[in-house]
Amino acid sequence: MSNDKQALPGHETQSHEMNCINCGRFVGAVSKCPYCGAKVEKRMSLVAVRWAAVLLATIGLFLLYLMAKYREIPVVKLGDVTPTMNFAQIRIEGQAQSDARTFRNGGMGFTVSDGTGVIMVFMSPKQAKDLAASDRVPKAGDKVNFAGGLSVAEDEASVRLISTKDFQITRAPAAAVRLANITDAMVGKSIVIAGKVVDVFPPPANTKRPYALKIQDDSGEQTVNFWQSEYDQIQGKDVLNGAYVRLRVSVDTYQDKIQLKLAAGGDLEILDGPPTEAYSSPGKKAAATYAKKKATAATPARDFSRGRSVQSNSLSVSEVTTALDGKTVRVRGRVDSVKPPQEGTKQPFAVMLKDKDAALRVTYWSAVDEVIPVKPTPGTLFEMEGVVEVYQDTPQLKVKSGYKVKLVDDAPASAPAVDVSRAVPVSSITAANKGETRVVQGTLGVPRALRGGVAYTLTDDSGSIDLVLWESLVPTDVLGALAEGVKVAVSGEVGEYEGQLQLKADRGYSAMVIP
Amino acid sequence: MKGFSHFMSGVAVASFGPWAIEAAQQGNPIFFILGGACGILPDTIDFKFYRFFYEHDVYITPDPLNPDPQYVANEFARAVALAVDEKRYVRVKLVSVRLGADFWQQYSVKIDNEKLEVQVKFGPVVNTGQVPVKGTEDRYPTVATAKLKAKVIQTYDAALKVDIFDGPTIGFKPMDNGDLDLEFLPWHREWSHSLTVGAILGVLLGAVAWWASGWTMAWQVFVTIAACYGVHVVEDQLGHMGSNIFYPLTKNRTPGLHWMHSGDGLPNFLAVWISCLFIFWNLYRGVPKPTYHFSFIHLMMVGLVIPGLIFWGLRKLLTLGQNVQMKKGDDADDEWNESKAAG
Amino acid sequence: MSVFWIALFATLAGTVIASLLACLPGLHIYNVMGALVLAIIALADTQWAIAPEIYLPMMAAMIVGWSMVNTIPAVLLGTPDESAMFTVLPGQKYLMDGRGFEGTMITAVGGLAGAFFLILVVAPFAPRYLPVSQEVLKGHMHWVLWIIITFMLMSEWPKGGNRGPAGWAKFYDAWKTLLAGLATFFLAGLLGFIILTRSPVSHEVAFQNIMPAFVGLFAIPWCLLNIISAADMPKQTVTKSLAVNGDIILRSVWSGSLGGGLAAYFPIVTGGVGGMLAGHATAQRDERIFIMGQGVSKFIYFVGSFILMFVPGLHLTRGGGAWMAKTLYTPSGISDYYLILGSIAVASAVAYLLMEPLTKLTLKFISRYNYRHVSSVALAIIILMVWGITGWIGVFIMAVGTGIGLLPVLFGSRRLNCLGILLFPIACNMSGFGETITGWLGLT
Repeated sequence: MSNDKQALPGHETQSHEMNCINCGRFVGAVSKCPYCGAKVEKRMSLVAVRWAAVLLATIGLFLLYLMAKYREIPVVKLGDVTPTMNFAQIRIEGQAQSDARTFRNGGMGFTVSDGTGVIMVFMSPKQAKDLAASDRVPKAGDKVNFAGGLSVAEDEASVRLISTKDFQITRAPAAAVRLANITDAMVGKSIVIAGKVVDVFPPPANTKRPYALKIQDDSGEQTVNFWQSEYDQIQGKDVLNGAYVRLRVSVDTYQDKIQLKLAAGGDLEILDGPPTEAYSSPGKKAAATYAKKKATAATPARDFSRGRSVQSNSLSVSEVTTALDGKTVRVRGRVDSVKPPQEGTKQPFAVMLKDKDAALRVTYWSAVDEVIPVKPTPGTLFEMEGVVEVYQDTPQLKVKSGYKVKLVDDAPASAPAVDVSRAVPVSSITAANKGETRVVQGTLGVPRALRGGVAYTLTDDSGSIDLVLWESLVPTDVLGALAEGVKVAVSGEVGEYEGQLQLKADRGYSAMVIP
Repeated sequence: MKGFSHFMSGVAVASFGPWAIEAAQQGNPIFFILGGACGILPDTIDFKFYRFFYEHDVYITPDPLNPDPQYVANEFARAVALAVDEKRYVRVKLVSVRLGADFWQQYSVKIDNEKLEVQVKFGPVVNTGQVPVKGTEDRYPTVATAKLKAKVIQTYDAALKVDIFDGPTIGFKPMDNGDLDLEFLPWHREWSHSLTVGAILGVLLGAVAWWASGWTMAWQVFVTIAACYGVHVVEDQLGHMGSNIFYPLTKNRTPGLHWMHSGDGLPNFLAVWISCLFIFWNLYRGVPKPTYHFSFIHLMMVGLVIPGLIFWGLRKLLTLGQNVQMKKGDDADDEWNESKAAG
Repeated sequence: MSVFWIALFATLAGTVIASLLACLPGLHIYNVMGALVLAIIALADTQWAIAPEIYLPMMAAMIVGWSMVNTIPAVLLGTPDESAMFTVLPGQKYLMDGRGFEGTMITAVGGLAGAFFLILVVAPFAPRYLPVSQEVLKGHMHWVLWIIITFMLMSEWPKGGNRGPAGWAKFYDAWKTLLAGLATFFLAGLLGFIILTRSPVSHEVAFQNIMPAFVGLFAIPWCLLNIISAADMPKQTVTKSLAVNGDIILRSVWSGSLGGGLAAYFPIVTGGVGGMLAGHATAQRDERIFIMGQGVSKFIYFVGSFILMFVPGLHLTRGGGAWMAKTLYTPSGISDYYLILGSIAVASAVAYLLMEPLTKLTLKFISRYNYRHVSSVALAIIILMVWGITGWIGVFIMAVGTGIGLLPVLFGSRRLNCLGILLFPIACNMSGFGETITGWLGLT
């Protein structure tokens, strides 16, 4: 055994505390010698640091936990968010700008605005489920108050919801609206509609297209779109077809047309019967409604014989007399002639409105004409508002604003909607006529709802042909007049679908009921 | 094999279950966690629990201040005599000698059956990486010997080396002819490395899963646990020590195939890397509408074969003309050392 | 001046600044970058606005310089006190053997090798293959974190239980250190839940939310233990050669790139975790390979995670540097990618060349000035920095983090367990039950 033992590397500069003071063996960091059992004294600084570590790690952490638990998360305006706030937990009080939409992974997102900025809010699939279960999925217009974790990048910021427990929502009231009264002004809002489900079209396989639910009330028909995730949430979807339903939908646009979207299956309620006027809150998952403004006048019955509306609360041409001199009136009449100003002159436009035997001269300057969206043309029915002036004992109407010149009906009164004299037998239409316009008359069969339209089998003495009427081309009042067994005359373009000839009704009043 | 190799093998085996992928896609990591945990569990049971309760008959505890090889040799011989005289299994613990936070006194015990003696020598001081400290090789040149009462049969040809952390346990098992069979680390893989134990564990945890979530979850848990636990047993059979594969139906360890040492770098890395590739492949198969498409062969070529060939070629180039000696692990105790060195 | 020269000067400036700052112990480059980001934002609408052509290469160069040169204080400024600590880190072994210079330079060689690997091997293939792996792995990050946590906790080796008869006493002696490890992990996890859910730090500096905790977990314990250390540094020698060859470098790159790559790619997995996993995976026994591999791993982790933000078709945000850069700039196109790669290449070369003189300077410095005093100054700077950015509440968080960060060192477990501060809460959130836990805690 060699006695010539040099110190091990580094040991010559180590503290003596690494060895047991009793037996001299190496003990390291332990406080009791494993060889002789003696207590190994450590220097005060080390003992203090050990105790400090344990106390800070336990009591210090507990105090920090209490501090965090009872800390109020600050409300921060979105306009005040800066890049240094990345990862901050903030409270946002604002309004949902869009209905929450579900992502493929089951998560959800919506945009919120607090008046100073807009931000996207994301939720995990579990949070989305929690909100859906407690009917707190935000819809456009709802007021929201929640705490979220900010993520700020150079070009965008977003917020991740911290907890659903803390998520407060105040529903925006949704108006109950008849289908025919849905207008562009409602885009971005949520409304409640009710009616009968005419048909439900699932999306074609392997496409990303939505479901299309055709709903009809006494004013018309609309299509409501939703995706598979919403369809799966609908209770009682097996009896949906033909059922009476009430839905809360958001009004949006798609390819310049109004689109109604169902944000959640829970927003569709299947009714026991036709909906009543006094709308009740459609179950736990739909919004509460509020009363509409009263209609200003009773709506007269529509005459569909010639496919035109005749309602008006304005004066007829014959009712404009010299006694109304200086008064502002609204007049409805059919345009007989339009005389633009001569080149190089400052003459006004002159339009003659006629109504049976009465005639009224209407004038307006070029600046007014520029604003008129649909210019008057002979034969069209117009409504114009202006001031009555008397000139040589004859009343005239002076229009001061182009916005007060509105087209009522563009079908000429003297001309029928469809020229029946041009009707041909159905059997005479062949594949060689594809792309050409034909007029046919016959009796309509059972209607078949299409995505965006309706189809009938039209039968005359010579045969049958499929008649297709698209909502985007044919006015709803025309469509509303058609039904099984009705005799009609139709003008349309010959086409072919899946080997069968069909007639696609032309744009406008191309279908006319024949008494 | 090293613990991480077993762990990743377990995760890879778990990934073959479609339910594991589906659960993971739903945010549930349980099957992968079970896979990895069960892959490493047999060694965890042995090294972190069982060995602390394993009783020994003789503790050979050299003094760090005065390392005496003769003491070690005498104690070793006494243990042999005990086994011969009492005709029973005797368990001996060779305790390590710690000299510093990073220093250990290494000593070796060699059995010479021809001379019927044990030879003990204290070697260099080594650090925790088992690298000898320069200048300490000849601190204790003496080789101490002691006579043995019987031959001690070893299935491998190596000296028992004691250095870092915990020292090894050996068992003397009397044989019919009067010799003693030396078992290295008798507590290791005594019962833990068994396919039946894995199945039993699967049944137990499967029962818990059945109570919590129903039958489907139960059998999925059972299959995952049994398979991932079992893959550890299979991998260990590639080495030297072997395992008691069907405990309690079998009593002794079945020797391994001797295809590798548990500390060999290349087999360990390949086990890990190929497991990663399998996991990747199984995850890819679970992608609903992948943007990128590739075959299994393509994956293996890009992920394993081509980089492997490049690495091998570079290594050949860089070691051209050199005589590169890779340190060979001892057959018996390299797993023991590898496990400790990993800590 | 053309963009080329602007970017080049910005790169050189960033490298030099970061290399000098890296010599200060306890200071992380992300702290410095945080201050830089604040300055850039403040100047954004003024005549002194800093263009992306300046700050992007500068940030990349700062990360390169720091990840290379940071080895110097890590190895040289801190003598392990064996009466206080259970384990000696690999770099410290070289220091205690009087070979601190050698250990530092071997790590630097690893960093340079990592730079070559990143630019010549990873960078050309990343736009082609990383989007593929991202598509496959993106929904699975949660369980990757969970298996890392599982392995971290299950693979820790008991330090005690080596002596005495079998029984519960021996079992407890062994498990003391493991229990310390588990306690560290879960206490750090709780700290993480607090900070990530309801941080007491002002929302106005929330981008540095986690900084006080990290400083407390890692930097402060290091400084404190240096200050109270009873061990002195042995005499150091400066060698002329490093006794490494191409084979050593190749194998170091193999293990280090695996670890650093894992850490760079997977969120929340840091260089230490990546290094641990790679070390287990590659089973290298040569200590030179271990040290050099650490250099490779650290470089690839810090620099690689920054690069991921610029990879065309990928644009992954990983690492504190990328998160900070993202608040200023959104990369688009291949030109940004080339800009960053070029900056990294130049910065790597410059940082490596600075290693030797800076190491020698540091050795001279610490031979004259006691490392305990240096650590005291570093401690004061760190505390001031935390207070300056996050206020007193940040200092309190730092103190709590310090307590947790001291536990593994003083009670014999792995420092890696401190990473529970991010691993645990984020794994829980990714798996969807983070909110359940914060609900139980009353934080939400």
